[in-house]
Amino acid sequence: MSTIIKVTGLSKEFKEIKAVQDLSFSVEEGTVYGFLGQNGAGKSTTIRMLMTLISPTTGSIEIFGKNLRQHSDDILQNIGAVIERPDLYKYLTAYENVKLFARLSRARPADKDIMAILEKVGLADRAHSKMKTFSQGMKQRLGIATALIHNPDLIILDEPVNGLDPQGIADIRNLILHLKNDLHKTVLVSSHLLTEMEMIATDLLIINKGKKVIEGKIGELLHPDMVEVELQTDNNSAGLEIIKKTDWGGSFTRKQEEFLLFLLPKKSIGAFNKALVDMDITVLSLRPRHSLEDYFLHITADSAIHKL
Amino acid sequence: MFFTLLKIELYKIGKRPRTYISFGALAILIFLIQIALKANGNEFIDIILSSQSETFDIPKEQILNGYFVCFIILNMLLVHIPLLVALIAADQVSGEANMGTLRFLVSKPVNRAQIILAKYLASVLYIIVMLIWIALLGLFLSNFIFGTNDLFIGRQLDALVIEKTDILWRYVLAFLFATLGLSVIGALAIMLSVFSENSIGPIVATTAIVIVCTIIQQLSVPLFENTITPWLFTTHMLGWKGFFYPQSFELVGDEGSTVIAGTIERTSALYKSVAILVGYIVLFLSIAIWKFKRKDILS
Repeated sequence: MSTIIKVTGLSKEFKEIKAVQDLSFSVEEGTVYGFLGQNGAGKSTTIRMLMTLISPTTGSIEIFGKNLRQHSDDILQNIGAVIERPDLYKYLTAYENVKLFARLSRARPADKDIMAILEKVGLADRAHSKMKTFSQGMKQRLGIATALIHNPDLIILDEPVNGLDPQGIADIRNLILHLKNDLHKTVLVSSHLLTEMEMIATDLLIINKGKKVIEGKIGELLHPDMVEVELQTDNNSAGLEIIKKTDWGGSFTRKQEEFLLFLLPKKSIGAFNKALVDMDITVLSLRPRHSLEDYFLHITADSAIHKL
Repeated sequence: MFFTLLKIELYKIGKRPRTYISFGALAILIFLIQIALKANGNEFIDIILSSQSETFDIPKEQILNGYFVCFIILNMLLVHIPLLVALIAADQVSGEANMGTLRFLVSKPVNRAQIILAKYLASVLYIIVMLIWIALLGLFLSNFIFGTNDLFIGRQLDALVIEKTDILWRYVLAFLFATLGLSVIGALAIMLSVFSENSIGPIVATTAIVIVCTIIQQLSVPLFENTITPWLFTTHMLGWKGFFYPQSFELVGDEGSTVIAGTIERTSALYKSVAILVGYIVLFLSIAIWKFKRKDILS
């Protein structure tokens, strides 16, 4: 498996604003690489640098093993991208938009190829309708069709499910999985929607305030050696006082609503449970947190704290 | 790739409804002038002749012909056409930025300088088509309605008559020159368009610059006449009229003068105007390309 994107020390400053700071990451072939961060974290700025829309202040980008600055035409020819909103030409039909962007990507698809791609995104029956008549979901799907028409190896989708209804979100999710599983494409997808990332990404990069927080395989990130455990007792305050007097007290991190949260080695959860019983604490629930949302909130909060 | 880009730009211009507004507006204006001259042409000619110091023995019906009507149309329209050019050219980059399509365009494997040049050339082709439209309606339709005859040209201090067999080539060159002049407006509009992310700003700015330059040029004060005016592109855009000022020679005695067919009075002035207009195009496009290549696409 080769490296498709290699970003090293990438930074972008807009006057006093540091949008991206010393960002390094790599995307391997055949993966769905999730680019996760809150709004304003620097995801779109990074993607714009990958697509040569803006120039980095410092750092280098290699795609397909070539330097982006020196080989931008060769590289961009093999990338399909939807950057933020799918703003295509409103006065053109879906068919005309796809054909136009294919030509810009130096491809000359036959009519049947254009119709096939529109079929794939569910727009074949609206092929000859002007884009201005489309709903947000249809525009998003048309944007993806224009990104795929020249059969690129790398597909970059920036917030592809923004503004979509649940069915639209599911359709895009299935399309991304189809690109990876059936067509063996490499997909870089950015989003602030954590649950969506959890369902489609194989790898994950979390950025916060323009800086990398963590990068890795999603399975490893969601199941690290350390796990955050939530505990609910019949009297949390009293229970916490008892726990703090023991060796387990050092594992306490914070209170959150009706839960006490502890950061523990994954293999110690059983021993912790037994200790609670020995301490005569009435446990109402004890369970590890492992959703990406929890992890994301935890990791970005830590990042903010570390910065302070 | 450049020709693909050019075809795409022409395709986009052709698909936009606003493109045809200009053609409709021009047709209406030309028809109005033709109707007015058909109805009250003699009165109009009286006004022109009354401002001349010389007297002419040409019948008014002979003066009022298709060539004369076209000359009137060009005088009236070519001053205002820059606005129509600005409507299309000033929207070329900023309009795409405003729509959000610019980031899709620039993220394709195309050279940014080629994007600007393709957009410019598409604007020039639009100008050519617009002038052909004016020629069809203003010249050929006027010839059909009013017939053809010698062309009477009234100037500030004198007037002259060009034989009808000596006219058509002058119109061809005048239209070509007008294309060059309006191409300067196209280059200016595209340059301003690169600096903006909405269409209105560059359209207004282009129009404002043309108006300011025209006013400076019309202010007959030595301060401007000797310094700025000779270098304004608006001054040289009027050079198309030079094709209708042929060389003439004085007749023996008090018989006045007669024009020499196939000649132009001040050829060197026309060459100078062409050079200055081309210079402006190169300057405006160079700035546009320089800026666009360094521009961060944030729209």
